[in-house]
Amino acid sequence: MFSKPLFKQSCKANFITWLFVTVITCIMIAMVIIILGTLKVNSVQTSMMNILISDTLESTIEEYSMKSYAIADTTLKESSKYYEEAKEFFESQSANMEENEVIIEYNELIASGITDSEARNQITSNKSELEALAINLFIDYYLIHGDMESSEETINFLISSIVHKFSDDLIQSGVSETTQTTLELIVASIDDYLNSTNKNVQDFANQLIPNIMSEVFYSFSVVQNDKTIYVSDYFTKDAIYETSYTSIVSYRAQMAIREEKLWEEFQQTSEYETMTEEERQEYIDNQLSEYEEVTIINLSESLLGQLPEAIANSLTELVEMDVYGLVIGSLFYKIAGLLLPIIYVIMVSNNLLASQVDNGSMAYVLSTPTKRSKVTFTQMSFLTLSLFAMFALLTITSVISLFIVSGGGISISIPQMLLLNLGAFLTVFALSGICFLASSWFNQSKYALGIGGGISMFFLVTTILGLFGSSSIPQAIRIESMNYFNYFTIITLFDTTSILAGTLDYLWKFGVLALIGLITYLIGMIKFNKKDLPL
Amino acid sequence: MDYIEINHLTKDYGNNIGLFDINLRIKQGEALGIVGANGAGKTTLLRCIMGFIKPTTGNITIEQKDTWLKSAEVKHLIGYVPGEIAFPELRSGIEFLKSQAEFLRLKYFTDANSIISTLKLDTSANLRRMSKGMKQKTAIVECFMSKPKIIILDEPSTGLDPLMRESFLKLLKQAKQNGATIIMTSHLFEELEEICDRVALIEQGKLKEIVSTSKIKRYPYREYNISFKDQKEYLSFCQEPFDIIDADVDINQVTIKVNKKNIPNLLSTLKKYNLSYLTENKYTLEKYFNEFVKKES
Repeated sequence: MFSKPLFKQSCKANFITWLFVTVITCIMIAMVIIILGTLKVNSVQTSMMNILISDTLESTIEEYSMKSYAIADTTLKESSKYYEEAKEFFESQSANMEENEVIIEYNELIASGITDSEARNQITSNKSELEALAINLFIDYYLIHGDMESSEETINFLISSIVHKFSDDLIQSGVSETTQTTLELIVASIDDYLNSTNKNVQDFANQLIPNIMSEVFYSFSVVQNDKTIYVSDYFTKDAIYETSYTSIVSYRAQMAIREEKLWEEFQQTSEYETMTEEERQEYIDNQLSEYEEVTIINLSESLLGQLPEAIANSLTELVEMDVYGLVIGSLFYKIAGLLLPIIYVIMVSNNLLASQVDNGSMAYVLSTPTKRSKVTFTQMSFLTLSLFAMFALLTITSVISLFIVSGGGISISIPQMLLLNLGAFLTVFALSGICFLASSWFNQSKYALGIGGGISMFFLVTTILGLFGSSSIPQAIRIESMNYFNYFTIITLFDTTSILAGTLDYLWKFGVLALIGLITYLIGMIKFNKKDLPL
Repeated sequence: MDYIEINHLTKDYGNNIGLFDINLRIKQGEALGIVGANGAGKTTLLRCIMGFIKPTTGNITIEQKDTWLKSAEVKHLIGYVPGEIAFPELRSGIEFLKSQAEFLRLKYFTDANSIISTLKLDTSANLRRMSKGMKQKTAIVECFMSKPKIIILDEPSTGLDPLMRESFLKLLKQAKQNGATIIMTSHLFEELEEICDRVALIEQGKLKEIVSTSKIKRYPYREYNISFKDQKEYLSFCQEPFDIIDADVDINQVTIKVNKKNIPNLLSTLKKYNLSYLTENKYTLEKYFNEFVKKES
């Protein structure tokens, strides 16, 4: 099946070409990888990315600040109401729990088999809301502490129950678990607030929340596209405080204007006359609460959020564009890096058959006991093995280059690089099959070169044109209609996008490329076996 | 079954070009020559024997093996000198010969070396820069070095100087003596006459005539050109009872055809005359074929 002297002959005749192509291509990939890995790729892109990140973070800080403020506003208003009531109630109870009316009643009810919540309901049944709250707190206190201890301790208990409610609300709203420092902050602040004379809830919250935010957000980090983004890289604690404070002020202003409008409108209505002060305030508060969410969204909108969705997406895509994937994956491994191997394949496949038939030297091979199928098989093997050796060296060079610049930020891993090289090999293998078929089919070099070379070059040029419409180019600058060219070339079956994205689409396409190569080689072999040779 | 059989071989290229119903039987050890005008189909016939082209109908067998179906197998027996020498891409003559030796699975290079020295070939010369004669010699070495049983030659002595042609013919004769079967095409009738047992004429793809060289040698007649000193002698001789086929009075020359048996008679007659010169028009293969072609038209 295999003719050693013919193989030797082919090696001698084509070695220089092979060496030249292999060396140049290896140098090229080494240069591309080393340059990309060491020099700054794109400073504009980097600064755009930083702007977008910092803007998104700022928007998040604002959003959470305003949400937390709204919660604080509500919680603190409520709690300062019942704080007074509870404080009075606690102080009015005797120190000895055993003699306390409420406790005695509670214990009796529990002893008679009623559940805790049922018992509480019974006890508070005909009391006002605030009284009920106070009693419930008292029972809680009794259950936790047993005896009533110092008044200071009682006050601490009350404050801590308020703090817990507040931080629970915060956690529920989505701000991550408050840290220890934050809790201490909240405790201290609320303590001050509750004991101060000038109790303006809103001013208080306006001070408290930015403090909390700067604590919480400063240690915050988020993972995006395999990269960890630390808030502390973009904002100082003071900057977070400023942002938070300003957003709350804007929120308060907006809500104040809204409230004024609501009052104006309300005063026009008929119901206004029929309601009490309290009822009117409640009505307005209910109306206001519906505006909360909308206002927060409006005031915390990021840059991208203000743009139409399509534009925001394409901007993000532009900023996140994988330069390495584009240059190494698409530009090199599908175009620039394939060019020389394709030229090698065009020239050598002609040299192996058509050229020798054309100039008559094939007569010497076939004048010996060498079957035609042996000739084609040997030449086929030479072409394939020389290509394999070429790409093996290319693979080694690319992997070594990757090691040299590791840490330089190239986002392509070693397994991906191996797959890229494999894909390139299979692509050139398929093209070599086509050129080999042309060489076996025609008896004249000019046709073998013209058809084989023409088809190969056509595929390459269409790939170049198709690149402009492909998904490796960000949508902002992509020319979508150019994607049609990708349907006219088999190089499209080399799916570098899939390899770099980690999906498996490339696998079956590799199979198709291998199949194209095998089938064309086979047809070439059969044709050469059967045709007349003008030797 | 003969050694080489060509049975109703037809290769039709259209426009009346090709080979048409060729039938030939060649015995082992026989030397067959093939003549014909350019384009008559000689090379096509050799290509069929070499298995380069597939016959339209008919076949050729060597040792009962079909030359198209069992082309590679048959090559064990064959040495070939093509009409146009085209060497593969190798550096020097010796590199080419060594490579061919490998293709032919030759174990020893001694035969090649002896032929190389016989033909005085410089094998270190660059293949690309060789003269036609050097290329021819290299091709001849390649053909004979494997001591083939069948030698196929397409115009083998073109490009060889007369001295080298002699050496080559000696080589060929030696091979024939050792039992080789030879098929060769040539335009040089003398060498065909020297080597071949039979010579075939191919015209427009058809085998027109095949003649054995011994028949030529046994031709019973001789032709002489006799020129006389003066017109008187010339005119006188014209009266003699000899078969005069041509006469030129300006140079006092007659051309006569005489049976071999009659030569003593001629010579004794000529004693009476004063001659300028006496030359023989040898009866050759060429003459035979020329007469044949004339008869055809």
